[in-house]
Amino acid sequence: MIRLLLSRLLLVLLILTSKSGQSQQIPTRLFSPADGALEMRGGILFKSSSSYLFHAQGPVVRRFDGNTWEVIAELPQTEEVTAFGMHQNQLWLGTASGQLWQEQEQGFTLFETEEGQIQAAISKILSVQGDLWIASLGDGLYCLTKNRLFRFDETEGMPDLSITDLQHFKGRIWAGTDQGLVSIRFKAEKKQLTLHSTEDLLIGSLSADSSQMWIAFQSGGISAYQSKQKIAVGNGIGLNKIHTYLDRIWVLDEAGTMWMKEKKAAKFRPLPFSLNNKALRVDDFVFDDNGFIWLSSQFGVVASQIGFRLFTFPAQLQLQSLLQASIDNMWLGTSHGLYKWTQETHQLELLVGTNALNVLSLHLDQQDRLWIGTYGQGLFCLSAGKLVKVGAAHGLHNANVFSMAASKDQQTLYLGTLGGLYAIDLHAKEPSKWVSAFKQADPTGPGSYYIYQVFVDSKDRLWIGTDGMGAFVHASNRFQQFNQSSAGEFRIVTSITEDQEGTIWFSSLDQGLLQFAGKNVTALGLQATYPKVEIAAIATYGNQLLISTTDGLRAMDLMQKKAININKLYGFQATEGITNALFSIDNKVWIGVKEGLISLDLDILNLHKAPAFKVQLNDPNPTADSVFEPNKNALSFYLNALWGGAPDAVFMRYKLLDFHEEWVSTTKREIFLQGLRSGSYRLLVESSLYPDFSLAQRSSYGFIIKKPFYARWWFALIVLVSAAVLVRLFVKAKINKRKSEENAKVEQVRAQYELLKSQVSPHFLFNSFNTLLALIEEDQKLASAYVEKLSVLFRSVLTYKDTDLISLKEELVLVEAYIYLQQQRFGANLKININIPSDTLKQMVMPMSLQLLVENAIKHNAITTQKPLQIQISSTQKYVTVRNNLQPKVQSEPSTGFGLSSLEQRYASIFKENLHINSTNQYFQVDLPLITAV
Amino acid sequence: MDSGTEHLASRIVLSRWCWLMLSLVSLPLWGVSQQLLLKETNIEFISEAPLELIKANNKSVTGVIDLQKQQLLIYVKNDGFKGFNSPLQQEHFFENYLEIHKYPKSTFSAKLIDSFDPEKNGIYHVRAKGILDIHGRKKERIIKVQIEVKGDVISYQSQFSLLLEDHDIAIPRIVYQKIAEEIQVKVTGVLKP
Repeated sequence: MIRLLLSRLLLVLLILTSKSGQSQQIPTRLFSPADGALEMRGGILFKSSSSYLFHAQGPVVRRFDGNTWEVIAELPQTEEVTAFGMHQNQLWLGTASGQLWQEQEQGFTLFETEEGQIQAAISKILSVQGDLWIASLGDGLYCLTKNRLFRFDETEGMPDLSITDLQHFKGRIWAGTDQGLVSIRFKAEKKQLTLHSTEDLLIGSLSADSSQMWIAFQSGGISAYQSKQKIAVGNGIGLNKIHTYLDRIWVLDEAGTMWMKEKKAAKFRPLPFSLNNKALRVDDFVFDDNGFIWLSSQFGVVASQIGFRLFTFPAQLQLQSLLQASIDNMWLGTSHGLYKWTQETHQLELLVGTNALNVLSLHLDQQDRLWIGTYGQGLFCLSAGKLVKVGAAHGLHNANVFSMAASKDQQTLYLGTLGGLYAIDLHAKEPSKWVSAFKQADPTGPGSYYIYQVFVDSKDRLWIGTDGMGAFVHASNRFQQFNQSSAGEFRIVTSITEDQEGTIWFSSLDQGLLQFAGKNVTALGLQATYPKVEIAAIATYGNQLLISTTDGLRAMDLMQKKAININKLYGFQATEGITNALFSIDNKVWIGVKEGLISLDLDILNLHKAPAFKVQLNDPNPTADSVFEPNKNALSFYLNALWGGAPDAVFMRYKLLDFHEEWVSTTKREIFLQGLRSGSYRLLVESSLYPDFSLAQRSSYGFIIKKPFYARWWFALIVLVSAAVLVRLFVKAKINKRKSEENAKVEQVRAQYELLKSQVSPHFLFNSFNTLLALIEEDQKLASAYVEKLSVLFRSVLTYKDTDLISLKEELVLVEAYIYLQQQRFGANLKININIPSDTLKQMVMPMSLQLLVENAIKHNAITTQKPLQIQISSTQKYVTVRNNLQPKVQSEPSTGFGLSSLEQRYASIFKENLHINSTNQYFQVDLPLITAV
Repeated sequence: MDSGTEHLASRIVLSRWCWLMLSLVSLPLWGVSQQLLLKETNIEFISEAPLELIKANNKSVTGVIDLQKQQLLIYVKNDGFKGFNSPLQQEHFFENYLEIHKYPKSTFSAKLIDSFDPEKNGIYHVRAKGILDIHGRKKERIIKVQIEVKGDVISYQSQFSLLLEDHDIAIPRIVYQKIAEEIQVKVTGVLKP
């Protein structure tokens, strides 16, 4: 028996294999400037408290908007920006010539003080509790407090004027110089400087977290403050920058190589950043809020997710299983043997004698024995450098060991094989006593079915994933089968794990991800979410469930039950997961994929964090109040979703309240809103890493489009009031017109009546008949002429009574008749002189108007031989004038007082003409306007 | 750089070297001096390229250390390099790489970070941080110098490397294999008051 055993024992030597095609990749992505004109090469980087990243190169300052770099400032060509700072929510810039520039609303302005200028390049700007500290390379340290600039130089105790870095740590300002480390306490103009001993005088860079300050030296190495130990970085090359972040120390050396050390680890490891297979020479680096590191390099600014690294191996070595061997080493089971892999050197050592093995499963027991399950070759045990094969001779009748899991008491190692369950007694001394078939005869168990996965949970229950019978659990000596989920029957279970709450998770080929929390198996529906995606392996880490699928890695938040595609999230190519090659330890998750080995640092990846989000108005430049003129009915906005170096992973949508009814999803970073009417608006924008916008980051932007002037209340009021006034004026004018027209009509009618009345007044008739009587007796011929004239007069009265106007000629016929009648009465005492030019005869007058004037003259004046009455009728182009000498009667004939004033009114109302009445002591004259016939 | 600024720059350099020259001239007058002169200085460089080893040395070096100001100035006449493998090699070196007609000198103007006591025997490791100006291109360097005080004799030596890229010295592709991108430099000499 011993000889048999000896023959099966192999002496194992670890030999180094120098396989070609090994590499490790940290995914990188170049982000170019938006202006495109010139690439950014090198330069300095800065992250502001508002999550934005800034870059400066020479005089040009850019900001990363989530997708591209936009120029935000250009200093004069002679300036070179050497330092960034954030002070009182403003960006500050320091230049190589010692200038300070301060961000203002209208741009950057040169900051000047009475104390004068800084005389050397500015190396650091640090804002601490309202004071601004400025370090210079050769002109000492400055502090701007309450608008006064204080200088710390050699007379104040500064050991050197060249200050390389500043930090705020334990209530003091720490300055690294070329002659050591100084701490400063500065209160109420009292300065207190303390020189601290350090491992080296040439301080290059400082980094402080809450508990410790780290110092990187210009001539190489780092040390913790107050520590006597100097930690080497590489071969002692000088260091330019140190930064502590997420329990790791990050260092940039003067050759442009990045180094990283976990605080617990002993040594720094180089971070082999590259772009298109060319190594990056890094000028500066900064971390954003999403776990990406940003590097300014000779190719431009590159973003990288160091929480995700892919190690690739020679193509023929297909990774099958993983096991942590020690902090720096890992066992890799491959299709062609078992290898020990050292992460730092990325070297593979083949375990001799295993090169023909296809290693499917690995287990390390408490006695430091490594159990190796293979495909077709049975089980091996590596103990104290000796490899023992366990096969049919030991009772293991199936040579395909897919999975291994130890019971909680470490007594039993369960084997899942393609021939059912086996158990290994880990305490048995003799290998011949190791193996036993595990309850293969139990009809309630999986029997000799294909078993893909065995898993022991925290309650020491054994879970079994089979091909065809779903899952089993073995507890209290009994089997229980699970093959029904909320979504139906499931048959093939490839992977099993347990979360912190004790919930068991299965991955099935038929129903995707399944969950068992004590009662029923619930399907998570991931199959529907990711059609045709098979789950290869699952593992929990904290409250995350990691799912390695044939289409990349998913992480599911166990609280939210939200899965996220890690490959997409960080901009990596999709990877194909492998069964049995997923486990987490400390902060790290190791995942075997077809492409190689992935390591995830989950504390860096910062999963399920919403991206920072900013909305920026594109056009025009945002004003403080964002009030736009009424003709501005189209606006465009930039949606700046900051998600490190993988902008494509962000989902964005927007909604203009009272304008859009639904959210509008967009992949574009610039959105246009058109057809905006006047009013007050609020634009809501959301960004999320999930397509259903859970855990979204929301941002909003309010703006107002002014109403046009004609839609404002005061304008409406003015219009209303003026309209009312106008209407009123119009109505009034109309009424007046109608009134005056009515008046005129009444006047006319009255005039006609009066005229008739006067012409046929008994007095006139009496006088006329008396005259006629006398004439008949004296001269019958004259009498008949008199009657003729009388009839002309009366006929005229009758003819013209309805007429407004008659020609002057017609009126003169009438007047002459009247005069004739009167002259028969008064004889030579009435002297009438008519002088009308013939060209005015066609002009018009009111009928009986001249007659009235003549009649008035005769009526009101004495007519005697001593005082004859002289009446003159003459005309110009515009007037016909009746003028008589004034010799009023002592006893006037009764007057209706109507004649002249009535004539005046009628002329005014109908013809809008005025009569001119001139009355002196000598004469009385009326100018009657002539109306031009139309 | 246009000719105007170049002129200005050369004047600034001149004024700085005036200080050096004045120090050198006025030294004997001062009696007890805070200054040490670099004497018997030999600068040697080695370029180990795959196809050719170039070696040359230069003794046309002037320099001074001001102990009070902790400053160091070194002035090297570029045409002083001798000992090439062939006159052709020397001509290439002078004309194509160093361009000595345009840039007749190389300088190092630095402050001494670590101090040493010339009165006290011992071996001191002193770092000099300053501007190395070769081929008209300035590069900030920290160069380590070993100083040995042994009675009256103060000797020093320093070894460092130069990246041709740092000083804009372009190598034609055809001689790529003949010139190393990194040149090893060794400086030795003594310090005298």
